This record gives sequence, C-alpha cells and structure tokens, in this order.
Amino acid sequence: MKVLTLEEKRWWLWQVPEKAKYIGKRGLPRKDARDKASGRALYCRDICLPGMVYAKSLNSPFTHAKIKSMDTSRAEKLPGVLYVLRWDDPEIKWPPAPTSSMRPRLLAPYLSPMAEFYGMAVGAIVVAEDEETCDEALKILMEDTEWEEYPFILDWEEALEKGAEEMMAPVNWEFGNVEEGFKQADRVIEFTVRKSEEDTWAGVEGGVAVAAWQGDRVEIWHYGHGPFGVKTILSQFYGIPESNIIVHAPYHGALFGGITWLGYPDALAAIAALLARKLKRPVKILDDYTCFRGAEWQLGTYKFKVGFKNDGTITAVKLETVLVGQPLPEHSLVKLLKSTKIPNMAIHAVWPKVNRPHRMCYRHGSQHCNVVVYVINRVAAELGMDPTEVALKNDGWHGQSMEWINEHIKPAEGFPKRDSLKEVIEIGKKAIGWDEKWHPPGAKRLPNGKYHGIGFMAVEQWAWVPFTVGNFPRPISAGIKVNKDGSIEILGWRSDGGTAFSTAYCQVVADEIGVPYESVFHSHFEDHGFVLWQMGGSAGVVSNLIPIIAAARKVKQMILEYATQLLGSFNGKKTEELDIEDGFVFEKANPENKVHISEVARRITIFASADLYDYIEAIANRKSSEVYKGPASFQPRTFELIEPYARPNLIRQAHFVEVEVDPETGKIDVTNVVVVNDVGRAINPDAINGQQYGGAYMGLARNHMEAIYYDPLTGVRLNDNLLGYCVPLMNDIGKIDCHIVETGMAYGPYGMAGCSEALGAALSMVLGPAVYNAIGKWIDDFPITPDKVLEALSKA
Amino acid sequence: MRLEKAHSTFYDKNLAHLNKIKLIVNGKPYEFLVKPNMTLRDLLRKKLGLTSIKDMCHGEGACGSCTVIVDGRPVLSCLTLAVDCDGKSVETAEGIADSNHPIFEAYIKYHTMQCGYCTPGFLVTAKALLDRNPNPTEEEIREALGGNICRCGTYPMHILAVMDAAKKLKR
Repeated sequence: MKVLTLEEKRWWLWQVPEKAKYIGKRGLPRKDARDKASGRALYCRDICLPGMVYAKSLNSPFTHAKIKSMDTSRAEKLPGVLYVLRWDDPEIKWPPAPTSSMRPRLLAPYLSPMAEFYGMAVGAIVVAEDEETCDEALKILMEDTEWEEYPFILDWEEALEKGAEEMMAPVNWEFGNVEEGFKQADRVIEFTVRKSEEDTWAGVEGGVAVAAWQGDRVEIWHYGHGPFGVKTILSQFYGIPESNIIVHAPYHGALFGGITWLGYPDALAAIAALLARKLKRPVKILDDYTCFRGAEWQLGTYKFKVGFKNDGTITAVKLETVLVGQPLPEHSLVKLLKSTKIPNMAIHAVWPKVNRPHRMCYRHGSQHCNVVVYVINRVAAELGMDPTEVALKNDGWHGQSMEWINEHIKPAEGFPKRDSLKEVIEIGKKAIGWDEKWHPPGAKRLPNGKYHGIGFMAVEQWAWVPFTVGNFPRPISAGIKVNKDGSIEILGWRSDGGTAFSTAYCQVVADEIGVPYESVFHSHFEDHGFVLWQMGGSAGVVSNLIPIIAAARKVKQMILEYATQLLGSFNGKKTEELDIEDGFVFEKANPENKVHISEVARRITIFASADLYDYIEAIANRKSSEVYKGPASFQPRTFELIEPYARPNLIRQAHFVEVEVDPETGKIDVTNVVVVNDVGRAINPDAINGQQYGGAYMGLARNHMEAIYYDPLTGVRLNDNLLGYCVPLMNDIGKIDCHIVETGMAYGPYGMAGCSEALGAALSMVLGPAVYNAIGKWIDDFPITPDKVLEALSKA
Repeated sequence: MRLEKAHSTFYDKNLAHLNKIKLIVNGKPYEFLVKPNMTLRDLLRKKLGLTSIKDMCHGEGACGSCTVIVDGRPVLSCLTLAVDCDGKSVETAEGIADSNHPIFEAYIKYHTMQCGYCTPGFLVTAKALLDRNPNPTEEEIREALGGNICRCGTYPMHILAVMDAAKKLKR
C-alpha cells in the first residue's frame, strides 16, 4: 500500500472524486429516515429486557440543603420496592476525583448528600419492579428525610458583593495592547449586556441507562454523546477488563451536547451497572428531570468598553464579565478574535458561586457570538452606519486584515482568494431586501400599528477543528469492509444525535470507492474497535471524515489490486488501468470488461482502517504556520500540542432577522429570517438546511422565549417542564430562508466545515439589534420579553 | 439489542382490579387486561412494543410525541386512559408506515427528522389531518402540527412533506 507524503496528507486539499454522484447531491434519503419516521428506531428508553427492574433518584426540594438523616425502612417495605441505594451505602466504592474541572466525580451527580440547587439529584436511588412504585417510594422517602437548610444566592452580582466563594480563579487575558487601542480611537463607548435568565437544552428523551450482567461481563445501553468513554470509566470503576464491558449506543433524543459533558450519562451507566450486579437483574435507571437539570454557559453580566474610529474601524475591546459557570472565559473573545481584525482586546472574568444548576454548552458558542453581535452593532449604531459595512470594515483574523490574509495565508495554504464575508452578506442582504428595509432606529411603523425592525450579525463559520490527541479517551479511527455481497460497511462507533452524519459518511464512501449510495452502511451502534469523535455537531463530521476517506481510498486500492490478481478478466492488467463505478470494477480502455466488486470480496477479505493520528502531521506542519506565528491561545488546550500556532479562520456566516414589535403589548414577532452559511464544501445540502432551520429556531428562541424562572424567596424553579418552558413551536418563528455558500476555504476534508452547531449559537442575540432597529432603544437584558419592551418604550 | 413486548409481572398480581378491553391496533384485533389508571401510551408501548409512541413531556400532554389516531381523531395517548378506548380502533406510526400511505414516503423524502424522537408523533398528526382534509393549506398544516414539539427544529420540512403527500393523494 502506498505511503502518503506530507503533501498528500493535507486533507483540506483532497478533491471530491471526479465522477462523484452523491457528494453535494440533494434528495438522498437519510440512512435513518425509515426507522425514525416509522417509530421503529430504538432509543435507550425503548430498551426492555426480561426481568428488568427500574431505578429513580430523589430530587432535592430545597435550593441549598444537606440531608441530616434518612429513614428508608418505610419505603423499603412498599410492595414492589427491591432496594434503596443511599449516598452513605458502605458498598459504594467512590472513584477518585477527576482531573478535569468540567466533569464531576463519577457518581456525584446522583449520590451526593448536599443539594446545591433546586431539583439536584441527591441522596438516594430507589429500585422497584416498575416506575410507578419507584415514584411512590420516593414520595415516602421524601417524607422520611430530614434536611438542614442553608441560605442560597441565585444572583451572581449579589454573590460577588457578598464575597461568595469563587468557582475558579479570576482570569485576565489580553491580546495586543488594549489601552493603546483606546488611545488610537476617535470614540469610546461603554455598555453592559446581561443574560438574566437561563435557557436550557430541554432535551427530549430524558436521562436513562440500562445495565445487565452475565457473570463477569456487563452490558450497557448508553444515552448521551460519549459512549466511547464509558468502557474506560467502568473498567476502572469495577476493576474488570474493557473486553468484558459491552456498550450499545442506540439513537438518542435531542441533547446537543448538554448533559453529556456534565457526566450524567456516565453516572447513570455506572449506577445502573452497580444496581444490576447487586440485584442480579437488569436495571433501567430513569432520570426524567435531566433535560431541565442544567443550563447554558451564557448566563452572566458582560461590561463592554469599545474604542473605534469615525470610519467604523474598531481599535480596542475590553470585557469585564461576571460569569456563571463557564469554564472557558477567554472564549468570550474567541469569535471576535477569529472573525475580525480588531488588534487589541482584553477580558477580566470572575465566577462567584451561586445556587443554580450546573451549566454546559448545547449548540455551543452563544456567549462568544454575542460579543461579536454587540460590538459590531453598537459601533454601527453610534456612528449611524449600516452594521453590514462595519462588519466588512473589520473583517479579519487575529488582528490581521482580510487583505493581508488574501496575500499571505490563502496562497500558502492552497485556498482560493474568495471573500467569504462579502459573499454571505451580499446573498443575505439580497434575500431579505436589506437595502430597502433597513432604516434608522424606531423610524418605521407598519399599517398594523407595530414597529418594524431588522437586525444583522456575522461571525466566523466554525466546526472545522479536527481533534485527535490530549484528553480524548480514545483515538479517532474508522474501518471499512466490503461484505461478500458487495455492500460496504463503515465501522465507527458513536452515538446518534440526529445530524445525518451517517448519511454524509455513506455519501462520501460511495463516491470515494465508486459504489451505489444504497449499498453503503454505517455501523455505529456497536463497538467494532473503531471510535469516531462526537455526535456530528461541533467538529464531529469534519474530524471523522478524515480517517473515513483515508480508509475508503485504501479499500478502493485493495479492490483494484485484488481484482488484477484474482479475477481472470483483469489478469495482466495494472491497477491504474482499472476503476470502479456503480459497484463494478471495469477496464478503463474497455468498459464492457467489468465485474461486480462482490466477485472480489467473495475471494478475499477486503478491509482497511485509518487513524486520524497518522494524518495529523499535515495540520501540524501546515504552510500557514510558517506565515503566521501568533499564539494558539484560543485553541483547546490539548490542540496546542500539535498546533503551536493559531490556524486561520477564513469562512463566515451572516444572518438577518426581521421583527414586528407591538407597542401595546410588547410582543415581538420574528417574521422573517435569512441565514447564510459558508460551509466550505457541502456534503449533504438537505442536512445542512436542516441544521440551519433547527439552529434558527433554537438560537432565536434562546433569548426570546426560552427562560427558566425562579421563585426568589425559595429558589424553586417555576417552569422546569415542557408545559412551562417555551421550546419554540412551528408557528413561533416566521419564514426561514436558508442559503449555502461553498468557497472551499475550510480545514476539513475537501475544504469543508461543519454547520450543525453554528446557527443555534450565532442567532442567540441577534434579536437585540433587530428590536433596537424597531423601537430605537437598546434592550440589553436578555431574554428580551414583552415587559422589557414595554419598559423601554415607556422611557422613550 | 433486545426488545421484549410484554413486561407485566407486577401488574399481574392485581388481577382483581383489571379491566378487559378490546382494541383494533393498526388493523389487528387485540384483547387486554388493564388497570383502570393505565394510559393508552403505556398499554401500546409495554404490551405491544410500539416504540413510535414516545414520552417526551412525561405525561403532561405538552409535546405531541405520543400522538396516535383513535377512531379517526389524533389523541395524546399519555392523557388517554386505555379503558376509555374499549372497542375503538387505534392507528400508530408503525401502521401508517406499513400501509404505504404517501405521508410516510414524503416524510422520508423531505428530511423531516433529525434526532427523530418526535417524528412519529408528527407523522401521525399529519396523517390525521390528511384523513379529514386531503387538501390542506399551509395555514391549516401549521394549525394542525402547531402543538407538536421538535427540539431539533425540523418544522419547515413537515409543511413541505404534508403538501407533497396531499398532492399524491389527489392522483
């Protein structure tokens, strides 16, 4: 097999096969479509084993309290109750605390005696013959538990004033020289944006794990995005080899990251296994509250100081933040750094501890995008400029202008010199009718009496970072085998959150080998020894396609080589004289001489694999790192190991939103949305459109409708369910018009980037400038609700 | 993966409180012994293994993911007692898929699913709409599907799928 040169390993310059039939094609059915539409797709909640029993946890009724005592005897006597697992059970073997601050100790999310927020799973888990008996026993247990209540604080600024414990050390970070930047400015403005209420992932399936033991082997059905970590965790926890741990990853209901990164799925799996071993029966543990036991990272107060010149060039941005839980504070400036040429920026961040649920990203990045939205739009408003012009004027990366990048980075890397931001803005402006509709703030009333507003935001298009080393528990790899019937199987274990990643992989493999899309399958529910990264969001598809394409190319080469050796019709031919199309090996000079690949596969095993690690030297030695030697400060820590210098961000997304604001009620109607994403290269445009629609609904609702409200006297969450929490419905957002741009300037295979994560984050605060354009007043307290609109209007 | 259709060891201890009911589910007749408080959702999931009937809002009637058609009307099976359905006909997403109804192929064609947890509930609601109104306007589709939650935000694709199915039904 040919060894690739460093040049050949530069996957972002790999070309889509010349005769590709499926990459970029619309109308292909998703691989999971029939199962999901018919309801026959199995989710973890659907798993039911013979003799299976159920487990549920106690949830704290207090916001800050400790269990003083618990009498389990009455609950244990209830018919059908099999066991009550307590936090102080001597049989519990607590694992050591993890080294990562982002993950709690393995069992801690369910078996701590201390409740630090309302609804926290705490103290005990009941096992019974059915769910109803679990609920009944938990009611009894609640009556028989004595709590010691403590004072609580919900507001982070109050916590700071009262000197509350800080969750992490304060962070100070500076790029350039921010004070010098303010001196160069013609004007300096200061404003404060506050995200006052939590939005939460409100995932649809609810926490669950199923475990069953057969002797020393345990079988787990896992819910969450990271099934690959469970084997390692349980192996260490139970002291059994990983080969004795079988983990299945069925489909799972929408999570978008969420609780996966808080360790809930791993804890559920570990507890189910623990109880199943004790009771010698399969156990299904259910946590219906999981979807509301958490919130996004955006919560906090952001004080801005922005310096700029009269032509709209921004010279400095300083951010003072009080954050609630976000462990990556410098990332609040990451999008500004990656999307603009602003040469000076700084952040100071603190984290007072409050009695609110743990926070974690879902469709990650809203807190970063919001900074871009507000800096660009506030400067434009101060100058009376069109915000799209301010965005274009400041376009760049790491303090460098787009002109410099065009001259130095793109030629070195082999990218075309297309202007991504200009392209996405022009398409978006035309689609929404920006030039006709954009108007001075508060200047347009519609015939129905409502204010009309239009808003804009643009930011880098991300999800392009291949991950491979560091704290990831396993290597990223894929295997591809040709079955005896000629069907192709991609082996790569991972959970399925719905982003159509399997469909995309099958399209690519079909084109790379030259077989029908219908004959390619992705086996991802079970562990075959190859682990793909992530659920498809973030950098999943971009990372995973590297080993998948590499393995597909190896498989194609093997088929051709074996064909020349094993099939009489190709005897004496060289592999270069053959090709594969529609599943047939054929002689290029005589296409009638063809044999189906199953004829080869019947004679010999055809299998190849690839590991991302073998290709990573390409990115570590990319040519742009010879041109720009700036710090990789904003890369994930582990990534600095292979990329000492920051990698340029060359592609952009732009979004436009039209609103109508009712001056009588304060109600905001989002009537029209245009989203434009430069994804580098579109593998499946239908799936990308799906992410665009979905991201638009989620992103716009985050700071409009979705909010968890607390009773200030008790700290009790008042709307932590789907009746009270306003997940957007079909008619809550108006028309959504999606556009895809393909400049090929991203660092994924074929020059692609991802799209699933970006929209939900990017659109989360664009309502701010849209409402400003409507009523002529900034509402800087999010979510923007009718009462805040009315308050702003009464001050007008 | 294994999936058992029946899981009723504990319920069976309380035979004295059980009610006998008859249902036609996806065209097939069944007889069940059920507790008075058993929901139609639990009956269909636990006794017949019909996994299309999902539980998203935990029985609050807020999401539409457990929708089934009972005697021609879409109902939330989490809020419907099984005993109240005695003698009635029930249709689920599995039955619609097996019947080759145009709405099923349209749902596949238009990528109406992402995570897919809510998709069967939408499919059933859409089929019920087409049963009573084979030529719905966009407004009518929005009204019919307006109560179903899709956290992935696939909403616009459902409108296209229902319109496509309506066209095929006309032929």
